[in-house]
Amino acid sequence: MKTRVLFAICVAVAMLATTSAFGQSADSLKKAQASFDTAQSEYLAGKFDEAAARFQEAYAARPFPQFLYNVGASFHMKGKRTSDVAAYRKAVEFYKRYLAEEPQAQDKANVEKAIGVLDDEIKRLDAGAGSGSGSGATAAAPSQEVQNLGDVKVRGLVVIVTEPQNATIYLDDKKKGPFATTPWSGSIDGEHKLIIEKRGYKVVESTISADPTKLVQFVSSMAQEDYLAWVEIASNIPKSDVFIDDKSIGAVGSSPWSQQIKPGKHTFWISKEGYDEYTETIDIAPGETKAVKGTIKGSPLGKIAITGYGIEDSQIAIDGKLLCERGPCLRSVPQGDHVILVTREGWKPYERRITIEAKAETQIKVTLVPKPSRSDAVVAYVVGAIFGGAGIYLGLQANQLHDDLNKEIASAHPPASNDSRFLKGKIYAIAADASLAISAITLVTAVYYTLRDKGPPSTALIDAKSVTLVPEINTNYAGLGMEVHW
Amino acid sequence: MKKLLFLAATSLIGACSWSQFDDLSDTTTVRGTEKPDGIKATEYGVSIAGATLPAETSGGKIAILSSGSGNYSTLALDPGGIAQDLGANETLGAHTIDSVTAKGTVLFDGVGQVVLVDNSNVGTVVAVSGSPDALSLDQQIPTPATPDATAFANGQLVVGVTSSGATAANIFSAKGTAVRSCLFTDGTTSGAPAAVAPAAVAIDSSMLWVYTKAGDLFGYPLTALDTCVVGTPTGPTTAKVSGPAATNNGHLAIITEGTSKYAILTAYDTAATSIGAIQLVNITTAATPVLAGSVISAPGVRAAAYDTFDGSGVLVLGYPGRANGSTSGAGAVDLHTVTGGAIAATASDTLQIPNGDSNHLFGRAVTTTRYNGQPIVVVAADNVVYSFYQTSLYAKR
Repeated sequence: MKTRVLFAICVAVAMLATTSAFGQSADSLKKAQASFDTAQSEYLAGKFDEAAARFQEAYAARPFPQFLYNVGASFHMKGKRTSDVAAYRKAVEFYKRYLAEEPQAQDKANVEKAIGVLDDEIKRLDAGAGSGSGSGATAAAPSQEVQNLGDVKVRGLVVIVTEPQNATIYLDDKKKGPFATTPWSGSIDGEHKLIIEKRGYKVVESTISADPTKLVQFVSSMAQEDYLAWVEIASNIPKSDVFIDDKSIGAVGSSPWSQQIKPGKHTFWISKEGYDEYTETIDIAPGETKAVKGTIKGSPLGKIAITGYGIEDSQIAIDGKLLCERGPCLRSVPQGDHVILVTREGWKPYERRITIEAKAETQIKVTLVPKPSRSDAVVAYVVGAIFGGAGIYLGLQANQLHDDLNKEIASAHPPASNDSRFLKGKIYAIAADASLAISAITLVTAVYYTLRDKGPPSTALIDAKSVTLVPEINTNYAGLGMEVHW
Repeated sequence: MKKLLFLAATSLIGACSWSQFDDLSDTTTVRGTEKPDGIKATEYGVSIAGATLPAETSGGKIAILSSGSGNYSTLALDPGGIAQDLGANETLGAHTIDSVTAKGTVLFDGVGQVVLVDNSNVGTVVAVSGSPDALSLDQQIPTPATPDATAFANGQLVVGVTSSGATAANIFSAKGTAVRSCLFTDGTTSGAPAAVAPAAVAIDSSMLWVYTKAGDLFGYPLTALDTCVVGTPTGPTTAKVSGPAATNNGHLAIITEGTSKYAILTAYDTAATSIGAIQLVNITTAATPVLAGSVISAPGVRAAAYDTFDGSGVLVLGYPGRANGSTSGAGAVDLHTVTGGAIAATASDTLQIPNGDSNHLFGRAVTTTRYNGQPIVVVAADNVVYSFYQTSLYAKR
C-alpha cells in the first residue's frame, strides 16, 4: 500500500514537472513571437538597428537560427543604406553565426556569397577611409556587387513544437514518409496537413498555413495513449510497400514505417515490385514496441510494353509463361534475357529473345502476319495417301499373281513364259514401286509443306527507353526527377 | 488389322522385287515366243517344223511358216531354253508368195533346207535350200494343182498334189534342178487305175507311202521316183488298206517298234466333210499292210506329229478349236502313247495354255524337234510358238 502511494506521488510530481517545463517553453515562444512581430515592423519601417535588437530579443527567448539570419539581414540593409562598415561587420558576424547553428541550411550558398560580398565591401570601405577621401564610413555608395545582392528580406519561420519533443512530423500524407521531428523550425510554403506521432501518445492531426514573412507557431501538447502498442517496420530495400492485416486495402505506407497499433495479433507484408514478399505475424501487447525487419530479395526491373495491330486479340507469354491474356501488354519484368512469344489464332506467332535492361522500358510493336493456307499440304497428303493405297493394292495384286504363277510353275502344266500374267505382274510390281515411291515423295513433300514456314514471318519494331530517377534541386523544389532517354 | 499390316508389308516387299517375274518366266518349262516385230506376215506359225539335229547338238531350231505376206523364219532355242528369232525375211529368197493359207506346210532338215509349200496358189511351190545336194537355192517348183503333201525322201523333195489337167501328175520329185512329174495310181482299178489324191506322204528306207484323201494307204518303191514318166502311171506295190478318210489332208508317220513297222494315219478334221480320226496300220510286211486296232475318233484334230520320248512313242495331236474351260477356241494338244503296236485311245497328257485367250488356236500346228539332243514338243498357236521342255511324258530337257 505504501509502495502504491509512493508511486502515485512520483507520477504526479513528474507530470507537474513536465507540464511546468512545457508552460515555460510556451511562454518563451510567446515572448519570441512578440519580439519577432516588433522586429518585423521596425524592419519594414527602415529602423534596422531596432529591428536587429528585437530579433536578438526573440533569439534570446527562443534560439531559432532563423532569428540570427534576420539580425544579419537587418545590419546588412543598414550597411547598404548608409555604407556603414560597422553594420556590415555585424551583418557578417550574424550571418556566420546563423550558418554555424544551421550548417545544413538550404540557403547556405546564398548566405556564404553574401558574406563574401560584404567582406569585400568592408575592405573597400576601409580602404576608402584610410585614403582620407571622406568623412568616414558613410560617405561611399554601395558597390555594384552589393547592389547585385538586392534588398534582403527577413524570413518568416514555421515552428513546430510538441510536448514531449522528438515526435515524428508528417506532411500531408504518411505515405510520403516522415518529414521531421519536433522541435522543428524552418520554411515551408502553402497550406499543409500536419500529422504528428509519437510512441505512446495520441496522433495529432492539424492544418498549418505558412507565411514567409511571419513567425508561425504550432505548439501541441500530446496526450498519452497508454492502451496502444507501437510497431516499427523496416526493410533492406527502402521505400518498400508496407501492408498491415489486409492487403486488399492497399499499402499503408513505405518503409521505414512506424505507427501506433492496437494490441493483438497482426500480419505485416513488405513488398516491392521485382522483389520477394516478406510476411510476418506478431502479437503485440499494449504499450509494447515491436520491430519488423523484412529482408526481401529480387532483381531490378525493367518495363516491357507490347503493342501492335490486332494485339487486343493476341496472347503474350514470356519465358513460356502467360504474361498478358490479351494486349496491349505493359508489365515490369526482371532485367535479363527473356523470350517473348505473341500468339494469335490464325496468325503466325512472333517470338523473339530480348534483353530487358533495368530501369528501361522496352517497347515492342508487333506486326503479325496471317498464317498461310495449308491446302497444299492437305492436297499432298491426299495424293500421297492415294498413291500409297494404290501402291499397296498393286503390290498385293503383284504378290497374288506371283503366288499363282509359282504354284502353276510347280504343277505339271506350268504357264508359258509369255503368259500375260508375267508381264502383268511385272507391271503391277513396277507400278506399285512407282506408286509407293511417288507416295513417299509426296508424303515427304506434304510433311515439308506442313513444317515449312511459308510467307513472311511476323515481325516487330523494338525500341528501348531508359527510365531513371535522379536527384534534382531547384529554387522552387527539391526531390527526385524522372529522366527518359531513347 | 495385323493381317492387313502383314499384307501391306508383304506387298511392299513383293513390289520391290518386280524382277522376280522375270525369274519366274525363266523358271517355267514352257516357252512362248511371240511373233517377232520383223515378221510382216499377219499369221505367225501356221505351220512349224522342228529340225532333226544331231544328238550332240545343243539347243534346237524350229522353222516357222507364216501366212498373209507369206514367209518363214527360223527360231533358235538356245541351250538355256531362250528362243531367239534368227531372221524374218530370209525365208523366201528371191521368190514371193503373196499368200500362204493356214494349211501351208514346211519341212526343215535343220541344216539349211527349207521347203515352203503353198496350197493356196496353184502351181507354186517354193523351195529355199541351203543344202546343195538336195535342192537348188531359191528354187521354184511349178505344180499343176494344189500341193497337199510333202516329204523329204533320200535327198529329194516329194510333193503330192491332186492330179488334174491333160497331162495328169500327182507326185513331183525334185533333186538339184531336176523336177520329175509322176502319176501314182491305186493300181487296183481294173483297166484304168485311178490316180491317188495324196493327203500325206512319208518314206521309210525303201518305200514311199501315200495316205490318200480317200483314206487308203499305198506303198511305192522309192526307185519309182527316179523312173516315173509323165503319162505313164505307176501302181503301188502294196495291197490296199483303208483307214479314215482325210479329205482335209492328214498326217502320215512311219514308225518302228522292234522288228515291227507301223504307219500312223491321222485324218485331219473338217467340220464339213469329215471328223478327225487316227488309225494304226501294221506295215511290217509291206506288201500286205494290216489295220492294227480300231479307228480312234479325234474330232477337231488339225495337226499331228510323232516322236520317241525317253524310249516311248508319242503321237502329238493338235486341237486348235477345243475350248479350255469357258475359253472357246483356246486349243489343246493331246499326247497319246504308242506302244506295243497300239495307240492309247485316251490321251496320256493334254497340253494347254493356262491363261490362254479365246480363239488362241493352240495346237494349230505341232511338231517335235531335237533340243539339247532330246526331243521336245513344239506347238503353234495364234502368232505364238510354244516349246515344251517338259511334260508328264518326258523329263525336263
